[in-house]
Amino acid sequence: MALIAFPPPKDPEEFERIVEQIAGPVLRSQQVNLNGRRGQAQHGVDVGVTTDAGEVGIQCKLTGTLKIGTVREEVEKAKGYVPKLTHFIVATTAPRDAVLQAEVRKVQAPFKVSLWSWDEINSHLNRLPGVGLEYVQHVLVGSKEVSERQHALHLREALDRPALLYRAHAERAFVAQIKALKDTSAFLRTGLLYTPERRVREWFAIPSL
Amino acid sequence: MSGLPYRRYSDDYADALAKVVDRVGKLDSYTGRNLPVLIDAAHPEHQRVINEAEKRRIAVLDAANAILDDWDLPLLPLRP
Repeated sequence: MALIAFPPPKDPEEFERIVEQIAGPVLRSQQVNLNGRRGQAQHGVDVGVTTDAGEVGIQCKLTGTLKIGTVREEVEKAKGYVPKLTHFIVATTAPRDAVLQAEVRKVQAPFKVSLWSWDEINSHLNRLPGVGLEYVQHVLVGSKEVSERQHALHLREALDRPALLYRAHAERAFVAQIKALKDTSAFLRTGLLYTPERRVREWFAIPSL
Repeated sequence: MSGLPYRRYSDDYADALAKVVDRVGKLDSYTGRNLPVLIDAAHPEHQRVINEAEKRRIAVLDAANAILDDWDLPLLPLRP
Protein backbone atom coordinates (compact mmCIF):
# COMPACT_ATOMS: atom_id res chain seq x y z
CA MET A 1 0.00 0.00 0.00
CA ALA A 2 1.32 3.45 -0.89
CA LEU A 3 2.10 5.68 2.06
CA ILE A 4 0.88 9.23 2.36
CA ALA A 5 3.87 11.56 2.45
CA PHE A 6 3.13 13.93 5.32
CA PRO A 7 5.10 17.19 5.13
CA PRO A 8 7.50 17.63 8.05
CA PRO A 9 6.34 20.34 10.46
CA LYS A 10 8.11 23.71 10.52
CA ASP A 11 7.70 24.34 14.22
CA PRO A 12 9.75 22.55 16.92
CA GLU A 13 6.82 22.36 19.36
CA GLU A 14 4.57 20.88 16.70
CA PHE A 15 7.25 18.29 15.94
CA GLU A 16 7.57 17.43 19.63
CA ARG A 17 3.79 17.03 19.79
CA ILE A 18 3.79 14.62 16.80
CA VAL A 19 6.62 12.60 18.35
CA GLU A 20 4.81 12.55 21.71
CA GLN A 21 1.65 11.25 20.02
CA ILE A 22 3.36 8.44 18.12
CA ALA A 23 5.73 7.49 20.97
CA GLY A 24 3.02 5.88 23.13
CA PRO A 25 1.72 3.38 20.57
CA VAL A 26 5.13 2.76 18.94
CA LEU A 27 6.88 2.08 22.27
CA ARG A 28 3.78 0.47 23.80
CA SER A 29 3.50 2.86 26.70
CA GLN A 30 0.70 4.81 28.39
CA GLN A 31 3.20 7.08 30.12
CA VAL A 32 4.56 9.67 27.73
CA ASN A 33 5.58 13.11 28.95
CA LEU A 34 6.66 16.26 27.18
CA ASN A 35 9.49 17.86 29.14
CA GLY A 36 8.53 21.51 29.29
CA ARG A 37 8.27 24.13 26.59
CA ARG A 38 10.69 24.83 23.77
CA GLY A 39 14.26 25.04 24.96
CA GLN A 40 13.40 23.37 28.25
CA ALA A 41 14.43 19.83 27.35
CA GLN A 42 15.90 18.05 30.36
CA HIS A 43 19.37 16.70 29.58
CA GLY A 44 18.55 16.60 25.89
CA VAL A 45 15.29 14.75 26.43
CA ASP A 46 12.16 16.43 25.03
CA VAL A 47 9.84 13.44 25.46
CA GLY A 48 10.15 10.90 28.28
CA VAL A 49 8.51 7.50 27.89
CA THR A 50 8.18 4.89 30.63
CA THR A 51 8.04 1.38 29.17
CA ASP A 52 8.17 -2.14 30.61
CA ALA A 53 11.80 -2.30 29.42
CA GLY A 54 12.78 0.93 31.18
CA GLU A 55 12.89 4.67 30.56
CA VAL A 56 13.13 5.93 26.99
CA GLY A 57 14.21 9.50 26.23
CA ILE A 58 13.50 11.16 22.89
CA GLN A 59 15.26 14.26 21.61
CA CYS A 60 13.43 16.03 18.76
CA LYS A 61 15.59 17.69 16.11
CA LEU A 62 13.76 19.80 13.56
CA THR A 63 16.38 20.04 10.85
CA GLY A 64 16.96 19.33 7.17
CA THR A 65 20.16 17.37 7.82
CA LEU A 66 21.48 15.70 10.93
CA LYS A 67 25.16 15.08 11.63
CA ILE A 68 26.64 12.35 13.79
CA GLY A 69 28.37 15.05 15.90
CA THR A 70 24.97 16.43 16.93
CA VAL A 71 23.80 12.93 17.88
CA ARG A 72 26.93 12.41 20.00
CA GLU A 73 26.38 15.76 21.77
CA GLU A 74 22.79 14.82 22.58
CA VAL A 75 23.87 11.39 23.83
CA GLU A 76 26.33 13.08 26.22
CA LYS A 77 23.55 15.31 27.59
CA ALA A 78 21.18 12.37 27.94
CA LYS A 79 23.64 10.57 30.21
CA GLY A 80 22.60 13.02 32.97
CA TYR A 81 18.87 12.37 32.61
CA VAL A 82 16.96 11.16 35.65
CA PRO A 83 15.64 8.48 35.77
CA LYS A 84 18.47 6.68 33.97
CA LEU A 85 17.65 5.86 30.37
CA THR A 86 17.69 2.40 28.85
CA HIS A 87 17.06 3.77 25.36
CA PHE A 88 17.69 7.17 23.77
CA ILE A 89 16.08 8.11 20.47
CA VAL A 90 16.93 11.09 18.30
CA ALA A 91 13.80 11.91 16.27
CA THR A 92 14.43 14.18 13.31
CA THR A 93 12.62 15.77 10.40
CA ALA A 94 15.69 14.94 8.28
CA PRO A 95 15.20 12.16 5.71
CA ARG A 96 16.52 8.61 6.19
CA ASP A 97 20.30 8.36 5.90
CA ALA A 98 21.79 4.86 5.90
CA VAL A 99 25.33 6.09 6.63
CA LEU A 100 24.15 8.11 9.63
CA GLN A 101 22.07 5.15 10.87
CA ALA A 102 25.20 2.96 10.78
CA GLU A 103 27.23 5.59 12.65
CA VAL A 104 24.53 5.98 15.29
CA ARG A 105 24.62 2.23 15.94
CA LYS A 106 28.33 2.57 16.79
CA VAL A 107 27.86 5.38 19.36
CA GLN A 108 29.12 4.29 22.79
CA ALA A 109 26.57 4.93 25.52
CA PRO A 110 25.20 3.27 28.66
CA PHE A 111 21.86 2.96 26.83
CA LYS A 112 20.67 1.91 23.40
CA VAL A 113 20.78 4.77 20.86
CA SER A 114 18.39 4.93 17.89
CA LEU A 115 17.38 7.34 15.19
CA TRP A 116 13.85 8.07 13.96
CA SER A 117 14.12 9.80 10.59
CA TRP A 118 11.16 11.63 9.10
CA ASP A 119 10.64 8.62 6.77
CA GLU A 120 10.09 6.40 9.80
CA ILE A 121 7.91 8.97 11.53
CA ASN A 122 5.92 9.27 8.30
CA SER A 123 5.39 5.49 8.32
CA HIS A 124 4.14 5.69 11.92
CA LEU A 125 1.78 8.54 10.98
CA ASN A 126 0.37 6.30 8.23
CA ARG A 127 -0.13 3.43 10.68
CA LEU A 128 -1.70 5.69 13.32
CA PRO A 129 -4.52 7.34 11.37
CA GLY A 130 -5.75 9.31 14.39
CA VAL A 131 -2.46 11.19 14.69
CA GLY A 132 -1.90 11.47 10.94
CA LEU A 133 -5.41 12.76 10.23
CA GLU A 134 -5.21 15.38 12.96
CA TYR A 135 -1.94 16.60 11.58
CA VAL A 136 -3.04 16.71 7.94
CA GLN A 137 -6.37 18.32 8.85
CA HIS A 138 -4.44 21.03 10.57
CA VAL A 139 -2.11 21.57 7.63
CA LEU A 140 -4.97 21.61 5.08
CA VAL A 141 -7.89 23.19 6.87
CA GLY A 142 -6.20 25.54 9.29
CA SER A 143 -7.71 26.88 12.46
CA LYS A 144 -10.23 29.25 13.87
CA GLU A 145 -9.22 32.65 15.22
CA VAL A 146 -11.05 33.78 18.32
CA SER A 147 -10.88 36.70 20.73
CA GLU A 148 -8.85 36.40 23.92
CA ARG A 149 -12.05 36.18 25.96
CA GLN A 150 -13.34 33.38 23.74
CA HIS A 151 -9.97 31.61 23.97
CA ALA A 152 -10.12 31.92 27.77
CA LEU A 153 -13.58 30.39 27.70
CA HIS A 154 -12.22 27.42 25.72
CA LEU A 155 -9.34 27.12 28.17
CA ARG A 156 -11.97 26.79 30.90
CA GLU A 157 -13.70 24.11 28.82
CA ALA A 158 -10.41 22.22 28.41
CA LEU A 159 -9.81 22.18 32.17
CA ASP A 160 -13.40 21.68 33.31
CA ARG A 161 -13.13 17.92 33.83
CA PRO A 162 -13.66 15.92 37.01
CA ALA A 163 -10.18 14.42 36.49
CA LEU A 164 -8.67 17.87 37.06
CA LEU A 165 -11.21 19.49 39.37
CA TYR A 166 -11.17 16.72 41.98
CA ARG A 167 -8.25 15.38 43.96
CA ALA A 168 -7.09 12.11 42.37
CA HIS A 169 -6.82 9.12 44.71
CA ALA A 170 -6.90 5.93 42.65
CA GLU A 171 -5.13 4.53 39.59
CA ARG A 172 -8.06 5.25 37.27
CA ALA A 173 -8.26 8.81 38.54
CA PHE A 174 -4.55 9.45 37.91
CA VAL A 175 -4.70 7.92 34.44
CA ALA A 176 -7.75 10.08 33.65
CA GLN A 177 -5.88 13.10 35.00
CA ILE A 178 -2.90 12.41 32.72
CA LYS A 179 -5.24 12.12 29.71
CA ALA A 180 -6.98 15.38 30.64
CA LEU A 181 -3.60 17.10 31.02
CA LYS A 182 -2.46 15.87 27.61
CA ASP A 183 -5.66 17.24 26.05
CA THR A 184 -5.20 20.58 27.81
CA SER A 185 -1.58 20.66 26.73
CA ALA A 186 -2.64 19.95 23.13
CA PHE A 187 -5.12 22.82 23.28
CA LEU A 188 -2.52 25.23 24.63
CA ARG A 189 0.29 24.12 22.32
CA THR A 190 -1.51 23.37 19.07
CA GLY A 191 -4.99 24.87 19.40
CA LEU A 192 -6.73 21.48 19.17
CA LEU A 193 -9.60 21.28 21.62
CA TYR A 194 -10.62 17.72 22.43
CA THR A 195 -13.81 16.46 24.01
CA PRO A 196 -13.32 14.09 26.98
CA GLU A 197 -14.07 11.29 24.48
CA ARG A 198 -10.92 12.30 22.56
CA ARG A 199 -12.79 13.70 19.58
CA VAL A 200 -11.49 16.91 18.09
CA ARG A 201 -14.09 19.57 18.86
CA GLU A 202 -12.43 22.57 17.24
CA TRP A 203 -9.08 23.91 16.13
CA PHE A 204 -8.20 27.35 17.44
CA ALA A 205 -5.34 29.73 16.80
CA ILE A 206 -2.79 29.85 19.62
CA PRO A 207 -0.64 32.69 20.88
CA SER A 208 3.04 32.61 20.00
CA LEU A 209 4.20 32.10 23.58
CA MET B 1 6.38 29.38 8.10
CA SER B 2 4.99 27.24 10.87
CA GLY B 3 2.14 24.83 10.35
CA LEU B 4 0.79 25.85 13.75
CA PRO B 5 -2.05 28.36 13.83
CA TYR B 6 -0.34 31.23 15.61
CA ARG B 7 -2.18 34.43 16.35
CA ARG B 8 -0.85 37.57 17.96
CA TYR B 9 -2.54 37.85 21.34
CA SER B 10 -1.65 40.61 23.81
CA ASP B 11 1.54 40.16 25.82
CA ASP B 12 -0.46 40.01 29.06
CA TYR B 13 -2.68 37.22 27.77
CA ALA B 14 0.24 35.29 26.25
CA ASP B 15 2.18 35.58 29.55
CA ALA B 16 -0.79 34.35 31.56
CA LEU B 17 -1.24 31.42 29.17
CA ALA B 18 2.47 30.61 29.35
CA LYS B 19 2.04 30.18 33.11
CA VAL B 20 -0.79 27.69 32.54
CA VAL B 21 1.28 25.81 29.93
CA ASP B 22 4.18 25.61 32.36
CA ARG B 23 2.06 24.35 35.26
CA VAL B 24 0.16 21.84 33.11
CA GLY B 25 3.54 20.53 31.92
CA LYS B 26 4.84 20.25 35.48
CA LEU B 27 1.77 18.38 36.73
CA ASP B 28 1.74 16.12 33.65
CA SER B 29 5.40 15.28 34.02
CA TYR B 30 5.20 14.81 37.82
CA THR B 31 2.13 12.57 37.64
CA GLY B 32 3.54 10.49 34.81
CA ARG B 33 6.93 10.08 36.50
CA ASN B 34 5.45 9.18 39.89
CA LEU B 35 2.47 7.11 38.77
CA PRO B 36 3.78 3.87 40.32
CA VAL B 37 4.08 5.61 43.72
CA LEU B 38 0.77 7.48 43.36
CA ILE B 39 -1.18 4.27 42.86
CA ASP B 40 0.66 2.25 45.50
CA ALA B 41 -0.90 3.21 48.86
CA ALA B 42 1.65 1.01 50.67
CA HIS B 43 4.64 2.85 49.23
CA PRO B 44 6.52 4.83 51.91
CA GLU B 45 6.59 7.91 49.68
CA HIS B 46 2.91 7.63 48.68
CA GLN B 47 1.49 10.41 50.90
CA ARG B 48 4.29 12.86 50.16
CA VAL B 49 3.96 12.34 46.40
CA ILE B 50 0.14 12.60 46.58
CA ASN B 51 0.46 15.92 48.43
CA GLU B 52 2.98 17.24 45.91
CA ALA B 53 0.76 16.22 42.96
CA GLU B 54 -2.18 17.91 44.67
CA LYS B 55 -0.19 21.14 45.06
CA ARG B 56 0.63 21.05 41.36
CA ARG B 57 -3.01 20.37 40.41
CA ILE B 58 -4.15 23.38 42.42
CA ALA B 59 -1.37 25.50 40.84
CA VAL B 60 -2.79 24.67 37.37
CA LEU B 61 -6.30 25.70 38.40
CA ASP B 62 -4.98 28.87 40.10
CA ALA B 63 -3.14 29.93 36.94
CA ALA B 64 -6.23 29.26 34.81
CA ASN B 65 -8.51 31.03 37.28
CA ALA B 66 -6.32 34.15 37.13
CA ILE B 67 -7.14 34.33 33.40
CA LEU B 68 -10.83 33.57 33.90
CA ASP B 69 -11.01 36.24 36.60
CA ASP B 70 -9.53 38.84 34.23
CA TRP B 71 -12.34 38.14 31.78
CA ASP B 72 -15.11 37.87 34.40
CA LEU B 73 -15.68 34.25 33.46
CA PRO B 74 -16.87 31.66 36.00
CA LEU B 75 -13.91 30.31 37.95
CA LEU B 76 -12.98 26.63 38.04
CA PRO B 77 -13.94 25.23 41.45
CA LEU B 78 -11.05 24.07 43.63
CA ARG B 79 -12.41 20.79 44.96
CA PRO B 80 -10.71 18.69 47.64
